[in-house]
Amino acid sequence: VLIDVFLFILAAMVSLGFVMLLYRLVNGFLRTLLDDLLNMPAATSFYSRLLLVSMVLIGVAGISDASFEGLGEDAEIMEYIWRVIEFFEAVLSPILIIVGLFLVAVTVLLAALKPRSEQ
Amino acid sequence: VSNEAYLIFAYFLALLGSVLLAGYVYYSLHQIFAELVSNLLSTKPARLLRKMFPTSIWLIVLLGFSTISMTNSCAGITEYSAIIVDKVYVYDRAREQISASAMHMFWGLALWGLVVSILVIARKRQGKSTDV
Repeated sequence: VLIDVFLFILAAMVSLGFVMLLYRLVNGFLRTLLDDLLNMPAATSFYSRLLLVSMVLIGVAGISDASFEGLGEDAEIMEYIWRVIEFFEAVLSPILIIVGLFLVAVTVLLAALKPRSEQ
Repeated sequence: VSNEAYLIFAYFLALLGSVLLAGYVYYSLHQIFAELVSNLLSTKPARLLRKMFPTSIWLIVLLGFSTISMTNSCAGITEYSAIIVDKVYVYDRAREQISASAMHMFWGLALWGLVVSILVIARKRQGKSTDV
């Protein structure tokens, strides 16, 4: 049971770390684009935080859904590794979908509004 | 730990987790949302949206939490005595409650994002037509 709890906490922390890393990677580009598109600092900050909060919420939902139960005391090390990989898949794939949806939303904004640099 | 104590602990821990999630969302977004809405709308509609935003966050998280019932008629677990004997079932239900709260919150925020986008587009179009 202890190893299950340890692995769960470790995998959850790695997943949230991945969320932060992905957010940092996307955020700079997103802010520049939104600044150019909207020319409203409040809107840029709102969308930027909305992305972070959405990623965290989806991450928490995935972590809550995932589980390390079902592995017996005689489970092999590879079974734990597979379970960890399944955990990451369950948590991270919805987050990547959210980032994709966000990109679609920004593209819609781009189509609806012309960036300042093109005006 | 007795099964009943475990059930009570897990249930209220899941509720606390959901409320903490709502608190995180509220403190992350309410100030910037209020500022943005004040820029986009006149005083009265802005005030209305500023009040609706936090209210919706708390209602949505509680709705998400309450969508997961402790009973499960499909699995034949409909009575308190059947729930309390199975700690794994109680644990799973608590996890599902937190997950449902987070997912409901996400969809609620997606809706607010859509509302803000419509307001932003309308404002930008208005600005352009004024320029012309």
